[in-house]
Amino acid sequence: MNTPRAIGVGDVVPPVEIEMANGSTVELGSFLRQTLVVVAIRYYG
Amino acid sequence: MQLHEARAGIQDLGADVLAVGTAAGWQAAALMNGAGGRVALDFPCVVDPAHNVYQMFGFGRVRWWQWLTPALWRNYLRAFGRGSRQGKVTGDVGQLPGVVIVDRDRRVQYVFRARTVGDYPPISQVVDALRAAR
Repeated sequence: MNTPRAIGVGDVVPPVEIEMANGSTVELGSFLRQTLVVVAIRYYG
Repeated sequence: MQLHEARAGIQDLGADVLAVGTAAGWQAAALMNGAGGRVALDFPCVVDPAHNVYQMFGFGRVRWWQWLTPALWRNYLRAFGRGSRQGKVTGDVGQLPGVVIVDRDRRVQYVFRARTVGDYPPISQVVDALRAAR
């Protein structure tokens, strides 16, 4: 089975679900009212 | 912490910050609330337990031998020197971080994929990428 190609510069981000701190699920696009710097860290510790 | 301090400049460029972690929601909430005497982060912190964001952008995994490399421990010491202290770990310690800039049209303008633990781009590089994306 092929691994999907990673999204890169110039690509459009498809809908992707993330969780708010309260456990509710939202789509990443709900934060895209402006350009977004998304920092994906290893974990919160 | 660096992003917290740079947020005003990022907002001046018409952008904002979103932190994504692999851990529990309560830890994201604690960061935003400044629990444990930490500086409260004033940007949203969300969690991605399914690693959807990480996989989508191709952020890698820590390989076992990377725990033995000087670069990894240099990054740890640099973070320690900035005042970062390790809290309770409940997330995925094998997940490497990354930074992306996504514009309002959902188009990716910048991607940084970490090569080892603690490998983050300089804030100046992120700000330059934001300026270029305008």
